[in-house]
Parts: sequence; C-alpha cells; structure tokens
Amino acid sequence: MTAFLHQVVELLNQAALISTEEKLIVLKQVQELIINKDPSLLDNFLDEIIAFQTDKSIEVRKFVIGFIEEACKRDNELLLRLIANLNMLMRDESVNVVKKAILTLTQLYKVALQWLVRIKSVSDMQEACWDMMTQIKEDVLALLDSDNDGVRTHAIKFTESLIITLSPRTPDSDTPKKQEGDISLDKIPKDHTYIRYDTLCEEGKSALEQLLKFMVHPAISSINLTTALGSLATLARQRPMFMSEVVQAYETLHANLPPTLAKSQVSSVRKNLKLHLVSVLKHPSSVDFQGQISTLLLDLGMSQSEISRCTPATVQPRKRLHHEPYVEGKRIKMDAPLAEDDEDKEEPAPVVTPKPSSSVGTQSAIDLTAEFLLPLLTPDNVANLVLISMVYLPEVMPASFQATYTPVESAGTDAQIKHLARLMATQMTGAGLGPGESSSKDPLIIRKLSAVSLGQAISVVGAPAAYKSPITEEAPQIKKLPEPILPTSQAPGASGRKKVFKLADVVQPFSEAQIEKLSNMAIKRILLSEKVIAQSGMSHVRVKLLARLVTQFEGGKKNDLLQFILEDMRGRSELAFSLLYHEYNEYLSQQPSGSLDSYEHCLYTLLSGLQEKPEQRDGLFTKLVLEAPVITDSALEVIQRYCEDESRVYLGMSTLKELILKRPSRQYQYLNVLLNLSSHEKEKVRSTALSFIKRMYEKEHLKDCIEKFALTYMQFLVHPNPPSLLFGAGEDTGSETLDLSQFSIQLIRFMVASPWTEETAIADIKRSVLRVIEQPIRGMGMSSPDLLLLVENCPKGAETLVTRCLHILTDKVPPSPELVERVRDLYHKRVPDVRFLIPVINGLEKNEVIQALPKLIKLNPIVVKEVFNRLLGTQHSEGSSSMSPLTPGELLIALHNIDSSKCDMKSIIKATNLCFGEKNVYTSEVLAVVMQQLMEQTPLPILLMRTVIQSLTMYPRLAGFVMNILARLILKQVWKYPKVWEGFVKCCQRTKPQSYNVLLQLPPPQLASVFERCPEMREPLLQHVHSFTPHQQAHIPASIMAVLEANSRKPEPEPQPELHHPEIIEEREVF
Amino acid sequence: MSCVSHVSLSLHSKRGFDVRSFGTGTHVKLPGPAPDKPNIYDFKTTYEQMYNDLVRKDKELYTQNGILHMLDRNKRIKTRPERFQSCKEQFDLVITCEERVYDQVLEDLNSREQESLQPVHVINVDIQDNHEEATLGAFLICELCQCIQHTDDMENEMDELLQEFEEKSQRPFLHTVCFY
Repeated sequence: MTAFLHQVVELLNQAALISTEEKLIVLKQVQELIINKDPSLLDNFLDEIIAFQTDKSIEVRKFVIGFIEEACKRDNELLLRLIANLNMLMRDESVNVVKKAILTLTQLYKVALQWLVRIKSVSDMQEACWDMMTQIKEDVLALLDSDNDGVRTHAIKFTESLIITLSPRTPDSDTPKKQEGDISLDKIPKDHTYIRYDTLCEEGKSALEQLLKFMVHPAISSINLTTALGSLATLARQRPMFMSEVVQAYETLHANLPPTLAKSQVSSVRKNLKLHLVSVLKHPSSVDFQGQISTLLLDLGMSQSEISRCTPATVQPRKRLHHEPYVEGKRIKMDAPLAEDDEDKEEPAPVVTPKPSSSVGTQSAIDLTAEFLLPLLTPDNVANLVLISMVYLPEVMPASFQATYTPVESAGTDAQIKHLARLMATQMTGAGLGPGESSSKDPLIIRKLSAVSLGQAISVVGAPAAYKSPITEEAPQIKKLPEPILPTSQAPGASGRKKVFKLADVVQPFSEAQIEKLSNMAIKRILLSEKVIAQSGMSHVRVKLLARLVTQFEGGKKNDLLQFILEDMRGRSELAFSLLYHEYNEYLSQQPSGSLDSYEHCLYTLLSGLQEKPEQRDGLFTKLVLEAPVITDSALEVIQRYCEDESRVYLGMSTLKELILKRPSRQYQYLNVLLNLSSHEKEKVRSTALSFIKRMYEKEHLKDCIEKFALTYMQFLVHPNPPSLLFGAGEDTGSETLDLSQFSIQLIRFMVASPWTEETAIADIKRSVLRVIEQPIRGMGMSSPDLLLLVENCPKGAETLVTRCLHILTDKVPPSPELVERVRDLYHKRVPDVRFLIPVINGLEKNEVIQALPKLIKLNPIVVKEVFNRLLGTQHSEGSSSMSPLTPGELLIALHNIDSSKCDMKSIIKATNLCFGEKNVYTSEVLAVVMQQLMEQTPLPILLMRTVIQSLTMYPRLAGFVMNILARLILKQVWKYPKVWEGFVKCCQRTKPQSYNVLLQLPPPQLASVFERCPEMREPLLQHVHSFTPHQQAHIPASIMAVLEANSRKPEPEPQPELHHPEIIEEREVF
Repeated sequence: MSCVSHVSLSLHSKRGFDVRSFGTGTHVKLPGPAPDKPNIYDFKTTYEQMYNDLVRKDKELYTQNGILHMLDRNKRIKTRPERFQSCKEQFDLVITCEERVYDQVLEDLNSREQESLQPVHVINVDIQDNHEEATLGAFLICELCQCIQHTDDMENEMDELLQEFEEKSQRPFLHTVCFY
C-alpha cells in the first residue's frame, strides 16, 4: 500500500515536469493506481490530479474529465466535490474538452440520479449538487443551439440518453445488456424527499420535444440529422412508448428533407434513415406502424421482400387493438401487387395505407387529416393545387427533391390518392392545419408540430423558411432561461430554428424595389464622387468598382452609367473601357452558354453616343472600336453610319481599314461594309471607299473577296432586269456600282468572259459603264497585263469598250510600245477597225499612219479632228506632239498623196482644211516646205495648187515664194495636169500683178490657154509688157507677143472651159 | 483512424497517420486465375501463408498481377488481415472504399451496444478494386486524411471539407456518424 503511495507521489512529481505525451502516460498510471489498485488513495490525490484541469494541453484536460468520471463512478460522494469542476470544464475554450465533458456528463447524470435516489434524506450539499447537475443538464440541452457541429452532435447524444433516463422502462423496452442496471424513471420513487418524479418526467418529455424540434430545423447539418435519426431509433427501441412520435418524425423528415443538404448528403441521410427504420421495424412494438414504416422504406428503395424479412415474424397479438390495423394494412398490400412491381423505388402506389382504427390511441393528427383530405382530392382540386403551387416553386431544384423524385406512374389510382392524402396531411399537420391537428389529444405532438410551423412546410419547395415568423427574433432571450420550457409557451416554436446563428434568420430581406432603389443610390453616389476621388488619386479604384458593380446588374444601372459616360466621353473614357471589358469578361465567364447581349448593348450605346455627338473628338471613336474585344453586328452598323457621315468619312474608313487589317477573324465582314460603301449614294463616301478598297486590294488574302464582290455587281449588269440596288438612290443610274477601283480589272476580265456585249447590255448601263470606267482604267495604267490581254482578245461586241479604254489610257500619256503592239495586232489580224488605232496613233510607225490615213479621214469629223489633234500634238497635254510619228508637214504631204481611189477627194480636202485650221502648227515656214516638196513630186498631187492658194491666203507674204513655185511648175509642164493647171491659172489670177512675170514664162499655147480661161487677164498683161523698157521688151518672144496681141488683132470667140472636176468647182466657190 | 477496405493495404503507404486496415467480408478474397475463381482464405490465415500458397499455385501470374508484391508488403506490416467487425477498439474516423463495405460497417457499428457515446465518423469513397484505381484512390484518401488531420476541429469542419473533396474529385462521398 505504501508502495503505491510512493509510486503515485513519484509519478505526480514527474508529471509536473514532462511533456504532454509522457504526462498522459504517467497520469493514466496514477489513475489506474488510485482508482483501481487502491481506491483509498483517491481522496488523498484528488486535488493533485484535478489541478491538471488548467493544464495547457487539451489532452491533459480531457484526461482530467475522464478521471472525474471514473472517480465519481468509483465513489459517488466525490460528485459533491467534482461537479463544480465538471461545470467549469463544460465551459472550456476547447470544443474537444467540452465534448468530452458532455460525454462524461451523460454518464454522471445517471450516476448522480441513481446515487441520490438511494439516499433517503438528502443533505443540503447533495441538493446543491443535484441542482447544479440539473443546471448543467439544461446547459447541455441549450448546446443543441451551439455553433459547433460536433458539440451539437454530442448534445444530441446527451439528450437521447437523458430522455431514456427520464422515461420509464417498459417490458417491451429493448435495453442493451450493459445498461440493464441503469436508472430510469420507473425506478424513481414517487415519494422521494428531493427528487421529484413528476418533474423528471416533465423534463424528459421536454427533452424529447427539444430533440424533435431540433430535427425539423430547415438548416440542420447532415451529421446532426444523422445523429438525431439514430437517437430516435434508439428511443423507439428502448422506449417503445415514443414509437409514434419517432415514426411521425421520420415521415415528416422524409417528406421535408432540409433544402440545405447537398446531393451526396441527401444520399447519406436517406441511407441512414433506411438503416434506422429497419432497426425500428425489427422491434416488436412497431406493429402499429409497420404500414407507415414500410411505405417509407419502399420510398427509400427497399424492396418489399427485404422489408418483409425485417418485419418481426408475426406477431403475438399482444394487443388485439394493435393487431387489427396491421392485418388491414396487409390486406391492402395484397390487393395491389401490380403496383409493387412497377415501382420498387419511389412513390410506391401506396399500397400500404395504414389505417389505424379510431380505437387505437396512437391515431395521429396526420391520420385524421389524411382521412379528411381523401374525398377532397378530385381531379379538379388537384389540378388547381398544382397550378397554385407553381407560383411557389423555387428557381433551383433542391437536392433533396432531385434525389427522391421519380415520375408517379400510378397516378390517379385509389392507392396513389391515398398516399397523396397522407403526404399532404403530413405537411398540413406540420403547418398546424387540418381537422386532425385541432382534434389531436396529444399535446406533445401538437407542440412539436406547431414548432414546425409554416416555415417548415414552405421549405419543401425551397423557399427561405425563417423569414415568415417574426417570433423567431425574440427567441434567444426566452431560450436562455434555464427552466424547462412551458408547454403552452410559443417560444419553443421559435427556438427550434435557432440552432445556428444565421443572419438570414434575424433580418428581413428587402423587397425587390428597395434593393433596386438602394443599389441605384449607392451607384449614383459612386458616380457623383468623381471629382473627390480624382483628387485623392484613387480614380482607378472607382472605375474598377463601378464597372464591376454595374456589370452584375441588369438594365437601369447600366444605362445610367452609360449615360454618365457619354456626358463626358473624353474624360470618362477609362470608365467606358473598364465597363466594356468587364462586360466582356462576364460573357466569357458564362461560356459556353453566355450571351453577348449585355456587352453588345454597352458597346453599341457607347459607339452610337459618339457617332451622334458631332462635337466629339473622333480619336476616341477609333480607339473604342479598335480596343473593343469584339465588334458585334450592331456595333458594325454604327461604324457604317459613321463612315456614311461625309464629314467623318475618312476617319471612319481608316478605322474600318484598321479593323480589316487587325482583326483577321472577321475581316471579311468588315471588308464587306467597306465594299458596300463603294456604291453609296454620296459621291464622297463612294470615292473614299474606293480609294480604301484599292489599298485593301493590295493584300493578297483580301483580293479574292474584293473581286467576288465586283463580279457579283458586274453580273447584275447583264441581268435583264438589273436589281434596284445597282442603281442606288443616286442621280446617275447604274453608275455607282461601277465605281470600282484597282480591282476593276476583274470587271474587265469578267467582261471578257461574260456575254456582255453591246447588244445584250442595256443601253443606259452601257453608257454608264463607258463613262465611269475612266477613273479605274486610268488607275490601272497601260502597263496592266490584264488590260493588254483585254486588248489582245477584244471580244466581239466589246469594241466600243476596248476603244474607250484605249482612249482613256492614252488621253494624257503617250501609249506604251506594248499597248501599241497589241492594238496593231488586233487591227491587223482580228478587227480591222481603224478606230482602234486612234488612241495609239502616236505610237505607230510613220508609214503605218500614212497607210491608215485614208480610212481615218473618212470617219466622223469629230473623230478626225481628234486624230489630227493627236498627230499634231494639239491636245491639251504637253509633250505628246514630240511623240508624233509625222511632222505636221509630213502629215499634210501624206494627205496630198492619198490615192484618190482609196478616199474621196472631199474627205481629203476636209482633212487638209483641218490642218490649215491649226495656224499655230502650220506656220508659213512649214507650208513653204510642204509646197516645195509637193511641187517636186512627179506626178504632181491634185490638190497641190489648192494648198498653194490656201497658204497664200493664210500668209500673203508667201507670194514671192509662190511665184517661185509657179515658175518652177512651168518647168514641170504643169499644164499636163488638168486640175493642177486649173489651179495654177487661178493662182496666177489671184496673184496678179506678181504673177505676170510667171505668165510670161509660159509657152505661147499655154498662155493662150490661160487667156482662154481668163480673157480679162490679157489686156493687163499686155499693158504690163508695154510698160517694159524696150530692152526688156526685146526679150519677149514674138510668139508670146502674138498671143498677147492676138485678140486685139482678131478677137476670137472664147472657148468653153473644159469640164472641171466637180470638187474643184465646189472648192472654187470656197476660195 | 482506420481504413476499411479489401485486403489491399495500399493505403498503408501514408505515413504519419495512425491507421489500421480491415476487411469486412466473411472471408479474404484475392484475385484468382479468372474473375469467378478467386482465392479465398479465412481471417485466420497469415499473409505469409497466403503468399506461399499463391507462389505454389502460379508464381508467374501472381507476380504479374502484383498480388505477391502486395502480400509481401502486407506481411511486413502485420501478420494477418483483420476483420473490422471483430475489432473492439474505438476509432475517430473510418474510411471505406465501397458502398457495400460502408453499409456493412454501418450495420456493425449500429448493432453494437452504445456505451461511451464516443462518435466515429464513417466516410465512403468509391474506389474500384484494382491497382490503378486503388493508387489514385490512395492519394485522394491520403489527401483527405491530411486535410482532416490539419483541421482544428474535425467534426465542425468535416462537412465543408467533404463537399470540397467531392467537387474536386467528382466522386460522391457518403458520410455519417456512429457512436461507440
């Protein structure tokens, strides 16, 4: 014995100094020594051990509690000393210590009660001890409302044990062997001096009530629920008197699984429910409830055969009253075997509708209400109920519903209607409604169910339950009272759902309108704080905040913010961008189902705002477009509108161009906008678009698209009824579409390939084409291979077009050798239309021009004029004359040399007239050279003298030169060329008196011929000779003199002039 | 802490936990030459005996499917498999890897007479009984255990923790509490 003493002292001394783990080992050794080996030492060392209750190790403190338990069990008297310590440890800061204390209290409560019951006269100390025990018991019950899940779990188990202790054990109680000796209410003497049977009985009932209330809390955790389910099963088995309450609680729970449970928790809870139901079913006293329990088990997925296996093999009819309804239930089951087969899981066509006869005391409010409801469930009523409850359906399907739902296959059968009636009765009773509720005799059940109250019923559909009852908020104070809760009090109803503090339980939610208003005001304040925040340098935070907030709201606030931004877009651009990005982010976060609507609205509003405000600086528009994450269709429309604004067309299109180049994913869409603008009704828009398209066309990957567009429009041209879009709304019909630029070569290609001919195309369009083609063709230049190809292949019917192209090309610049080559080929080999040559005429060889001349001058006078302009370089442009293959002189000479069989004289004369019309070109010098050369030709050109006379008319000072010409003509026997001779005479006539000397050089017959034509010339000439000096006269041959004087001797009749060439006659009139 | 699964003691690899492994069936079943021909032993058989038996039957097959390796490792941990229902020790946490086993554990725990009311949490994580899944599952359970180990208050945080794991692993967990 002393050995133990020393050992304990030694160990305790060690324990003060060593680490926690070793300390525990040592203390356990001490406990073993002083409790089991030598209990006489217990008293000695009690204080030393208890001193460790303040140890900083949780494990050590838990050990102390365990020690208290063991010590008190060993020596009940120690309760007097240790109960206070236990009370203190109950309030330990560590939940693990508290939990251990609760476990110990569960044991010691029974120990204390048993101990006191044995004592006949209770001392003050013992009374105080019991009072404290009662107090602690209440405290633990209150811990059902603890914040800590584990503490609540322990409190539930304590409550279970308490209920068993404070209720009578009956013969059908299923008591575990180890608890055979435990105290229970039936062992409490009713005449005890201090322990009052009635009080304990009430306390027990109250505890059960609290447990049942706890169970129906809508936000109960799954573990607490599991624990409570187990406790109920234990209660039902150990105290079959509570079977009815337990089964009802199970029914209620099954129909109202807490909406807060996750899906897998629902599975866990259902599994537990099944397990416990089976254990209850196995108890013999379950007979009265086998119907309900079977229904539940069927619902939980157990097969009928399994259920039968768990049902206690029948059934000594302990009480006939109980037996009867059971048989009835069985019979109904047999009646509907088919339904069983159909549904082995959910909502079994409820076969088993328990109908406890009214003589059974356990008939509950639910049964009564169900009977009441049954006849009311007509199809009409049910349909109305369904319609009404649609309104209350939650937005999200609660997990509990999802887990339990299967389609009702046996809808409309009697069995199903009965089941439905019962389900509804459960709900109605829960809500405190229905005939069963008002007539129920059991006050406990009424209270429990009223606790469920309206909120619980509504929680079925997932609505927030706690908001309904204002009583809820007053609950805490009432709850704190240590006294057992009075049965009539309303407070317990509320306390049932105060397990965990939830903000939602104590505050009223705002109405939608209030929420809306408050949030609007909040955002407005942030909006208006712009300047203040800017001064503090935290603008970026404000911007971010606004964008984030507003993105989460619908409608109104967004528009407010957008409006706010647009009021000063420049100053608030950061906000605009931030908002835009947030919207886009929101869209991304909702992928793949997200909608761009909100983002689109934001972008659209911002862009339209900018577009509609003329005074805005435009860089912002471009920036917004280029930095927006996505350009939506509506945004693109705004951009298009922007481009259509004549004052911003360039900027708009630059932006569009950037988009095309920098957003490859949708560039074709952007490009299309630009293309469409190329046929816009406004000239400026059109031309700007074209110049941009031209630039775009340089990008390889865009070429195709542009070409296709052009071709599409081109195809309209050959359409018998060109679509109206071709014409636009503009003034010059049809031309818009053709304002195509660089890519118009494709147009040409198309023309080459298509049946586009002058016959098929509508005249209007043809004209338009010819007119508008100028700009693009000029842009292409004559080196364009495609154009050259066109010229080479000139399709039939397209001559006008080709000619037009050639004209445009050579209008300002001399033709390139390549072009000339193509045209020459075309002319010689395929289409001998001289008009082709005109544009390139300056590129031809001299002889080619000369060859073509006869044909050229036969053309329309206007065309001829143009030809001459080209050849003579009298066009508006400079420098081209130097390119002419013919000098003006050569041209004129060529004209004279045209073979009259190839061209009528009239045309030639007109052509020469054109030359003479160009006084600047045909100077007297040029004409002199021409005359000189013409004169030297043999034979003499027919028009020679005409030209001489023309020249003389234009330049009278050429008279001397002309005399010289005339003289030399005589040497060439000019009289041999009748027409020239005629002109010669005429010229002499005009140039008298200078021509007298020339006339005198004529041989006499020719002179006579002159006089025949112009008799009036003779006298002046004769006088002229007479005025000569004698010496001079001597040089005049006598024959001449004879001709001169012939008339004076014998006047001869004037011979008829020869028949002249009609043209010459005509020309004579012109002279 | 205790793990109840088949004989696979692969979960033993986690160090730093106080872990025990159990079977719950009436026999120990090891894969045989065909799915319908398992090797069956009672719980009295030692790992050593199983090992020798299988070596004798078809050394190559059981080397290839890893059973011998597993038995070799197991026998270094303990001499023979244990049956959960026969173990009277108290645990804080039981993890099962098959719903059937979870049900057996629950049935056993609930059939015991309650005494201390000490809670024991039971968690089921469905893991196919093959090597790959067992390894993956082992990591998952190991991580779960580590997380539980690091909680200040296991019971209070368990719910949330399991929800997290459920989401992460995309497997449904069953969870309940029983009392000794």
